[in-house]
Amino acid sequence: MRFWIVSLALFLTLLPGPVLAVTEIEISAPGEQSIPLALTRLIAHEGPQADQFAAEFNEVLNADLDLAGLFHFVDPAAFLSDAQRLGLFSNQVDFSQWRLLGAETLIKGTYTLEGEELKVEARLFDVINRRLLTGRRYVGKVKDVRRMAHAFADQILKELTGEEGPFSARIAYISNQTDNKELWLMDVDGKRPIRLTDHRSIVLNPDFSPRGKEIVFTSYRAGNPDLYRKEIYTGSEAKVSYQQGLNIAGRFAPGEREIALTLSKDGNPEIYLISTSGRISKRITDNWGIDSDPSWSPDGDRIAFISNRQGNPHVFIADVFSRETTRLTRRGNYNATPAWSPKGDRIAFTRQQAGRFDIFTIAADGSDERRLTFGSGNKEHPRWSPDGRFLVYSSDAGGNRAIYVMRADGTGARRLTTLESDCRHPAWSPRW
Amino acid sequence: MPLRMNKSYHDDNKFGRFLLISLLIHGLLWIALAANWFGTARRVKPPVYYVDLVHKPVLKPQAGRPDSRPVKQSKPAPPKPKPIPEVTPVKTVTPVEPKPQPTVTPPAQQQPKPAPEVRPNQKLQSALDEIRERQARQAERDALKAKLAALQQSATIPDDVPVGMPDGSGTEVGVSALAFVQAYIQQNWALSPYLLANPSRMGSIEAKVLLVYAADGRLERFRILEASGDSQFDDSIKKAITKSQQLPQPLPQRVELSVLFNLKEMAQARR
Repeated sequence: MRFWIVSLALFLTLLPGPVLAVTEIEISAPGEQSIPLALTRLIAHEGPQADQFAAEFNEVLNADLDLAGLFHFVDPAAFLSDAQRLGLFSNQVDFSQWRLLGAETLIKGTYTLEGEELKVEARLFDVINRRLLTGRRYVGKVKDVRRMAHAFADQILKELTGEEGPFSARIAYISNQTDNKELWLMDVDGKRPIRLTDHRSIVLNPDFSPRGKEIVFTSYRAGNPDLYRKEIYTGSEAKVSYQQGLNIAGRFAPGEREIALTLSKDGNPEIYLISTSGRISKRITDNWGIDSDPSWSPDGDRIAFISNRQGNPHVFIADVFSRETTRLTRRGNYNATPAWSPKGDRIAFTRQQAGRFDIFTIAADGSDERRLTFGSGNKEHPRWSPDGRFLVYSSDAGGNRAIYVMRADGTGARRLTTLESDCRHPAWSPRW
Repeated sequence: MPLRMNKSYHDDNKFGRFLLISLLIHGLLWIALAANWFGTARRVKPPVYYVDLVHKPVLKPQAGRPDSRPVKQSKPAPPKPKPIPEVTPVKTVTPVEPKPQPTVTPPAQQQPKPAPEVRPNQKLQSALDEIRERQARQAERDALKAKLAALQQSATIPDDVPVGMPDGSGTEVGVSALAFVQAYIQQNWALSPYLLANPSRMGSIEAKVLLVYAADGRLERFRILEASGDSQFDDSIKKAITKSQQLPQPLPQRVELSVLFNLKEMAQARR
């Protein structure tokens, strides 16, 4: 009998239990496509009050994070008492106040001013999980407050996305502010412009070395468009390539040992590789058509360039080792200035349509072509930020040609330079 | 004796075998009927007839359903008209008409009329008029309020109002409790496409989470059934769930939800 009792018990245990109906639902988009961020103003920790520095830090950080497109800002007018509280540790922050305002992330900070020395401590908090995400202490002169804010914006992007932002970098560009086209350098937000050359001629096409210490550019200083190389910190300058004819559109190879450029020493513009001392090391193209505007792939194995060898100017890709070329773009009658993204997946270029240049991107295999810019004015000379998140370009949409920046998907465009002078040929430096 | 024992054993064995076979057959039948051979899940796409783009999920999602009968409320007493303050009659002094004095004026040139002299009794009269006018306006307002209150009382939900139709008093978004939960979690989910490690995966990225809500709207437990592999995406979902730990209103019953999070709509919009 025991056998049957055991069998019955076993049988009952194996029976399926009461079936709970699990209902499936699908949520196919987030309610908000940006993270609510509360950005508070720095508070004086010790020493005298210096609201102008706090305001400047706040303004720069706000602009950088706004460009990043990750956040939307909680209205500072709604901030409660915690915004005025000094505590920078998780247990000193009243997260419930910020949660009440709908914030998911919070930036708080303090500053200490001692004479000319400025110390800034900034923190990024996760409001939902009530924890510190990242924090940095910056020490410098009062004039460095903008750099500190850019650096913290980079740090925030690194914390949230795993990749550092490009806001501490600089942008080189050509401006005729002194009535001559000279090489200038400015912050990523267009502030603190400084002139680098005084050639009193025409300077064109700057490009940063991969470490960001040097710039190559073309100048008509000696009458011929020659390629120059300039050290940014020392200011020392040298002529690198001065072949007869064009020596233009120099681009440093990722390894920094070679420069790709267009030379027309034999009559027809072709793509060459030269060493950093100017010695020709390789001829990449050999065709009756005009080949120009080289741009390296991030691995240094391929070069995108413009050629009219099949009729209209189109983007082609050349293998550096085998010198085999393949055509990338098939649409449009006039494509120009390709720029390979630092991630290697896409190539930006300009195309003339209906008498106007606009910026496009295309996958490196020739698929998925997308138009990024619309509206009036020409948009030209696109160049990528070192993280591939943004594109900087020049446009005459506002009358005079100015430098603009936008996200890599074409959104968030904003002007960086004033319309008082003509600015073009921007190049985003590596991380500074 | 051994023979009897054998017989008894034999009979017992026979009965046991029959019992076992019977139990097994019943058991198998039960398993066959009870088991869900094609998965336990039933995807419910909550019907939404009218989408309220302005209002967020309402607090009382069941309001407006014909099956949730409104509780009969005793008719409130009609609003009492405010007592009109008695106006004490003010003795009006009839102005003494001034005797017209014959003056000879040239017909072509008219003299500007002199400003009428305001006398104290005239001032009183105008103040009185003003009070009367204010009282009349107040009475009119009270009458309108009473009318509105009466209308609101008489407005009942007819039986044949379909679920979610604007004739009901509930906001359409909140008619279904499931739709309400779905909208509430979605509202709490914030994710920027720029946060994704690989934005080109936007169309295929997804994660599945099991949520168990008690009838009082409290999140009893949750479990990530399938992670997406993108830490930012998974983290944003965890935050949305943390924010949705307590629903702002109770549910009709305890629910187990398998929520599939993905970015299909966002990917479509970006194409």
